[in-house]
Amino acid sequence: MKKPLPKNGESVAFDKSAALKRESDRALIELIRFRLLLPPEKRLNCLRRKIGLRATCL
Amino acid sequence: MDAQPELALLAKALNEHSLEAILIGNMAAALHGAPVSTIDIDLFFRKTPRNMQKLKLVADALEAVILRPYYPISALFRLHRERDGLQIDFMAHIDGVKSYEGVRGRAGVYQVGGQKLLAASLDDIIRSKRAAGREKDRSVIDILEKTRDEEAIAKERGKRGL
Repeated sequence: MKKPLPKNGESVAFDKSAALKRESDRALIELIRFRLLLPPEKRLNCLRRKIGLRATCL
Repeated sequence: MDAQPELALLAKALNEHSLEAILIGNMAAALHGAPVSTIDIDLFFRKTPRNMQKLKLVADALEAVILRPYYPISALFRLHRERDGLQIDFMAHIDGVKSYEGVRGRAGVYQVGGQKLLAASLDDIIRSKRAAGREKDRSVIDILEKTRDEEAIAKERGKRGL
């Protein structure tokens, strides 16, 4: 059986980046589907409170 | 922080004073299920003398004051509550949106704390974010588009009873 050709650094980085993007998209879709299952009133944990002059927190 | 209590109070004040306003921006997107956050509550309203009187009553009911920011956002009235820094922006103009009636026609009615609240459609929210063109608006468009697509799929499944 033939071994796959070694990839150069650039293409490995590209593959990793594409895989991360796919994984990130999948996680986002999963989160949206989870939120859509909740009643609208339970989707509102989204208000950021100001702390001091510039910072905010959920 | 959970915005439900504040949104319920706001909806109650709007309904009691018959001020029709449509929730828009990230808070409306969150109501649609989008995983986004915001520091204020944005509403779209008709700027008429009668509605401006009602807006003062709504501000009183929420123990807030009406501020008029100086930076160039057209027809924006900010309700600010000193106690907890709550910020509610009433806007008479929204970027990328042609008419109040159009947004009103496409808006959905939600129940928050037993109060009726109008929320703009995700298409209108996306349109306004795209037209505003700020970095913080552009960064959430992808999330809003995915939410819109998933919402459509969920509605279709609901219709089929799946």
